[in-house]
Amino acid sequence: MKKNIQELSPMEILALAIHIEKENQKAFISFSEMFEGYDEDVVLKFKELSKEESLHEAVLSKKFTDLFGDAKIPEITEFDVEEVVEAFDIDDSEHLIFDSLKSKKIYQLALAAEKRAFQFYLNASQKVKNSELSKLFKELSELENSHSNWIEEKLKQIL
Amino acid sequence: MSEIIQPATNVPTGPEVVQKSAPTPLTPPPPPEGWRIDLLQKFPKLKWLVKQRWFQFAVILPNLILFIMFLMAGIWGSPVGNRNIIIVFVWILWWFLLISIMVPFFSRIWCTICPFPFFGEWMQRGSLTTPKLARPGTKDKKVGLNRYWGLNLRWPKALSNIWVQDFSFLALCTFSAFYLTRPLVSTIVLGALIVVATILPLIFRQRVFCNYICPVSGFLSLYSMASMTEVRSRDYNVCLKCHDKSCLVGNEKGWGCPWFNFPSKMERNNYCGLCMECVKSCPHDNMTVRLRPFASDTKIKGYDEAFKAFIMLSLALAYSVIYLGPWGIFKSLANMQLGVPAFIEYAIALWSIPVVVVPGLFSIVHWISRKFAGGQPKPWKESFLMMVYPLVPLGLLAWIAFSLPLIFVNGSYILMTLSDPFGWGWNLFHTAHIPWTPLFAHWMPLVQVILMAIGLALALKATFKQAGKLYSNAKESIRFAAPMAIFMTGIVILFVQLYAN
Ligand code: SF4
Ligand code: SF4
Ligand code: SF4
Repeated sequence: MKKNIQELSPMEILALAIHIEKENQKAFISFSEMFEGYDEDVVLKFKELSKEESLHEAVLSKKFTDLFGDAKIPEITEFDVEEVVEAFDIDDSEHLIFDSLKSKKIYQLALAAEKRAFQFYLNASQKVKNSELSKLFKELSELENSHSNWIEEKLKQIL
Repeated sequence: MSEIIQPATNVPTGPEVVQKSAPTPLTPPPPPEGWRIDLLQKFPKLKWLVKQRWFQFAVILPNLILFIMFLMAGIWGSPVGNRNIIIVFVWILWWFLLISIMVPFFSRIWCTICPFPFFGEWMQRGSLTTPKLARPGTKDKKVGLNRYWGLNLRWPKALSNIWVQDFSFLALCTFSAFYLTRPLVSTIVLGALIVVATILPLIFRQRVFCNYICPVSGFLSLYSMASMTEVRSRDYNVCLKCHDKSCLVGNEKGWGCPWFNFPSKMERNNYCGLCMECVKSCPHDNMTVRLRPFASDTKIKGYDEAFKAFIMLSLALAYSVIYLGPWGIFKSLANMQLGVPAFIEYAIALWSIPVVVVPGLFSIVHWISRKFAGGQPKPWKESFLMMVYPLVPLGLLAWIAFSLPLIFVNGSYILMTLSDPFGWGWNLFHTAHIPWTPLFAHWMPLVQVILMAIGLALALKATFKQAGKLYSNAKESIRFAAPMAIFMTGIVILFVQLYAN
């Protein structure tokens, strides 16, 4: 039975956030491998984003240790909850056929994913009545916001 | 980062929710228009079948055996076209089934069973059925998670479109009279294609022959947009949560999409060869095969695809004139019976219709449409490509109308060659000597006219719908569509005149 994310404990919420960052790294690496031999910049952008996600994961893991000490990170995935929290997706199924993916587009799509995640956590922080949970969601939203800012800076460099 | 998070002891660990919020949507693709029937859900046995690793091999093998027999018949069989199975089965029966049944109803199902890429893909994969995984840390050639053999190079960017298919099809059609009537030439043409389809996968990744070279692929791709079958992901949210993307990168259960689609995100049929690998590889059972209304995909993405539409429509008209019309001179020209210079003139005329005349006329009408509509027109390319789409259902119906007489008039040859495939005097099923009996010959013009009328109705509906997407103002959209509608009607009148006479 899937849960609403607000039904999770803080420990589970952090575990989920860590899991998502970890899985996103995997997805970015998969995309980078698929585009190997295409525009080099596209491959580099995917690798860069994967690395960035690993930094996010490290930040969240540290938070987890700070909060819960040596407790084992609960095994929880996005499939255990109803909502989609943060997901990067390419925008066209035929990019590999027509070699049509531009590196700038990757940042734009990544930015969209981060912004959605930010909005998601922010909404959750406003809706949940428990103040501790609300703070946790708020902090996660701030973290996502900082990711968005990072990508926005990158985009500015391209423009 | 502020230290909002409190020590563990202060943090509640149970469910604390007082107000549930709806899941935040993450821009799913637009929901499909019209009804859908999930065939794999409705028919569990079909699902079981397409999930078997041996499925595609099992459907290609009989076809491959037949194909080899056809090639042999072309070499050793009768040189008389209608006495040789390669001519009768490939250019009459196969063509009719392909254009009139397979494509309109089952999309690119021919590509599921097509023997052309068989040898190349086998060598590229190093396996007939079981997917191989690249070994981490080794120099295995890989695409995604799967291991491949051969050079595994990337197809050149400059050729990553369907221009080659456009012009190779046109070139093949220019010489059609040669292979449509001469078994040996058919064998040479089909044999050459299979050689190219075998060599390319050893050099390049995945199905480059199918995506960029195969002359048949261009029109299968275009007309599969109108087809009533589609492979799609069921629930986009599941795909968003899935980070393995196995439908793309492959796994031990299935190869990553051999056509280089990202199946989860697929919104049109064009480049899906219905190989069912994504159905097998998806760990969340999220890929399926669905039935849908006719002419559901409407997005033409580039001028190469637009030209395919022009080429196909023009050739349907040209072929109707050459092969169905009462003017023997065209057949003689196509057959080079009037000499090489006359053939060259014929070829120039044949090429100029789809390459210059039809696109030129279409561009002029499109320009008039934009002027007539007024308002703020969308960029030229966008509106041009959108208005090419109505030529898809129209062209498909035109080809069906052209192909019907082939089967009904020449159908008796199928029975004859079935009994005597090589024209050697066999009579395997006692049908070798049945007389040539055209069926429903008198009804053909009427049926053809009805088919063209259906094509026109679909094209007009699409024209006004596409115009509605370009102009939010109803008056502007109708004014924009009107010249286009007249253009389509004019084309259909040409066909009708031809068939009715
Ligand atoms: S694209 Fe051509 S070669 Fe490839 S499977 Fe389809 S018909 Fe056969
Ligand atoms: S593997 Fe399945 S769930 Fe994952 S992206 Fe592909 S279709 Fe979606
Ligand atoms: S893997 Fe799926 S999307 Fe790709 S060609 Fe095969 S059936 Fe179509």
